[in-house]
Amino acid sequence: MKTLLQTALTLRGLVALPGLVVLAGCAAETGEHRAFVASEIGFGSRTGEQIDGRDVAIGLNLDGRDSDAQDLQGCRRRDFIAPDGTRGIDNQFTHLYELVEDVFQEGVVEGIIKNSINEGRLLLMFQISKVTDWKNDDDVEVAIFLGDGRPNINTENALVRDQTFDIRSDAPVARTRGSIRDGVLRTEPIDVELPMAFFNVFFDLQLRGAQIQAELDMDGNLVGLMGGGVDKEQIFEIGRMADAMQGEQVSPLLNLLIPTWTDLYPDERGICSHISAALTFRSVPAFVFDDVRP
Amino acid sequence: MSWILRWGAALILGASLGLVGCEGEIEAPTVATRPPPPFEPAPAQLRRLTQPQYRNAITDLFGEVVLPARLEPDERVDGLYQVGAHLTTISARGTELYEAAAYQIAGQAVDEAHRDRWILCAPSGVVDRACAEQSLRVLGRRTWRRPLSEVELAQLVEIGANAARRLGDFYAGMEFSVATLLQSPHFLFRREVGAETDGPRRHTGWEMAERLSFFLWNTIPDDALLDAAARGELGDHPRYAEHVDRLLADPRAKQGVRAFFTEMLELDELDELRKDPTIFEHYTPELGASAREETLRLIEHLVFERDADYRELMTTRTTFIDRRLASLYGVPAPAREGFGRYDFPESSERVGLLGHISVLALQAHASVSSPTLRGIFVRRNLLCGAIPPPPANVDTSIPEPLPGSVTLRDRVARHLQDPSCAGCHRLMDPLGLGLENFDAIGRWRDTESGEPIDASGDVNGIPFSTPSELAYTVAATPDFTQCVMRTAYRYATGHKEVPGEAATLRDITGRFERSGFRVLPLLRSIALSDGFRRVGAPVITVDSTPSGEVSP
Repeated sequence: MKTLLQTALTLRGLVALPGLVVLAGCAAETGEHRAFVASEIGFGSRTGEQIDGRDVAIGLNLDGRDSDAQDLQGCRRRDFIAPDGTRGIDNQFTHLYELVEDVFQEGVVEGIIKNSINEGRLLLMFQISKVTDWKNDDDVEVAIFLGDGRPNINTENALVRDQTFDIRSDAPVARTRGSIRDGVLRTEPIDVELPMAFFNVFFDLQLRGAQIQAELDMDGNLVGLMGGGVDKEQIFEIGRMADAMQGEQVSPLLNLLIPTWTDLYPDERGICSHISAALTFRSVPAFVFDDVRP
Repeated sequence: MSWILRWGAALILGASLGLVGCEGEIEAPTVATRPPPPFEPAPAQLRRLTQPQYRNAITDLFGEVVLPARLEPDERVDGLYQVGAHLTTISARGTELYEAAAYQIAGQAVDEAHRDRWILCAPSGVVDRACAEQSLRVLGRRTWRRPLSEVELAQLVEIGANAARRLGDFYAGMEFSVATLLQSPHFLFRREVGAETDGPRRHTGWEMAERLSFFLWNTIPDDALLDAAARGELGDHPRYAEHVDRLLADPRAKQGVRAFFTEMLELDELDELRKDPTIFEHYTPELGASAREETLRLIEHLVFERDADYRELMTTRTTFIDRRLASLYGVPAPAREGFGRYDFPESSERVGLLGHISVLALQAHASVSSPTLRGIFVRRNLLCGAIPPPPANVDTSIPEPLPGSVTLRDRVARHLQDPSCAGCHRLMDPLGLGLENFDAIGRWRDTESGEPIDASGDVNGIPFSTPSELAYTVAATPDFTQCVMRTAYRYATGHKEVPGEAATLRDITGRFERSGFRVLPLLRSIALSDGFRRVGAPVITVDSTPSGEVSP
């Protein structure tokens, strides 16, 4: 059981630790821009319901397929279905998350994430720019980066809106393009790298092909999902480091379970290298200082 | 042991100097428009130091020391503590507070970190009367803003010598001398009674020194000003204007201007700013101080850096904000630490002082805005309009919503429909409703309860439809510039103007207008005016108590 606990804590670091680096992109400074900072981050998971015999889960269709147990391209993993009926939802990470939730009290994971946000260690920021129409715009630019600064918190333990932050100097800005249709922003895939530290273990976690789907709510918040693939080797490595640091045996369990959940980027043998994951977020309007525009 | 010495010191000085009471009510006169009556100055008065003046004086005397948290409260009369200062005296509780403060400060004044600032010699022993006299003569002149008499000085030296002998330490003895100086009415009160001259009664040079320094610096005179007083160069002397100009050019003039506008705009009340944090996420206990600093920095910028037209206070799009205020305003912070300049775009409705949190949040309730409070502020503090207090039997709470009423405008509409309310509320609600786009903490809102906000109203019959139009309309009202002139005059002289000062006020008004409504020339005009330099005879009132004590 303690092994499971170690695993859970280690994986929790995926979202609870700072540093976000991504690659690629270019920007044009025309149109409007708005920045947001994630005040809440959680894991997309199964809702406990079923539609058409499929489990309902929060997530994105990352590979454009609606896979089932026969789909080799999906490594024979059954995709989920979204609450709105969208098929092909890739979020096998939910199995690991549910395992963690079984071990820990409900809300512990969210609490740790929340603390990281409120203490300014996980200020996940988005800037949407080159926008001419916030309802429909075929070509917008999205920057993803980590903010720096001590945030103010309101009585609901959430970030106060419209705060101004720096950009973490050790976390280069990731840029991608996207579109807004009927108020919903969708971005093109981009590789995101999360430099993390956990129990004195430092590592970079890569979120491959990360995509964002989000929309502005009535209060001007950007609410949505960020999905992507987590390399199983990365998870194994985290397990090994945790074993070494804590003297536990996380790795055998991970070695056993993770291969049964990988569902992205199959090789020629039909073996997938990544496990799909989805993070939910609610971000409030924010600013970055003029001299550090992303 | 020490309590005996304390009371001994207090009694000696109390008996020898005599705490004098303060004068009462001045009739609320109407300044005649034409022709002004001959100049006749207001009666002489005593003014108690306000709490900021007390603290500034202590800092000037001894440097950075821990200042007392509590002193006798100041009283705002006719909108100003400076006016209230001549109507208040010291209560029994206040006496205790001043005594405790005096010993708290004196204890620090004689410690190694501070004593070299004012003890001018190395004592030759536990009792060194010569050294004590040398130091107390200089310290006493600054503390009491006049030279000590030889009798007074001898008493202070003796108090210190007695204490030093008993405590076995020269500096411990001096602590009691300092505490005595600080408990004296000569320190706590400003004597502004003047003296008979060949012509009209005038303030003495020493009175002019402290009158000037408290007006322009909000603290005690420096040695140069006291030296000028000693040379007889203050008041009617040809060099008087040079001294006024020196004070205005000194960095301490910023402290003085800040103090004036803090009183005029009631910015000190921001220390008590409270909002419901469950409704207003931007509220923190530190918000009030930030809001005050924003307004004062803007005033400093306009007055000292730009020497600008006072009306720009209402129309400027420039302000100075920190991260907390930027977040509340919904704009990027201009500085990582402290305050930085921010210019609102032309499209913004947040313009000038009426867009500041210091006004919008202070003149509102904890959870809802208040067109009435905001209207009173504009009418009374910015336009110097009179608003009668509500009748004693009137319910002053916000009216309950009528069926179909959604916005606060709907609710306060009852004020204007009810004949018993309308007379006064017509003076304030139409002004305050122009700021309804700002909620109770001052954050912008387009709607209230889902309904678009109607921010229209009128200033003395001149209509406006948005907050920025309200600001421009107020700025263009002659009452606006007249009000700051009148308020500054009251602040400087410590009294509400009397009919005999009408000519002086008219002259100051003309000079203010010709200067382009600039604040520093206004303060200079006031300092040079007869109303500031001349004084009437004290009004003698006979106390109705059995003792029949007479006080000026």
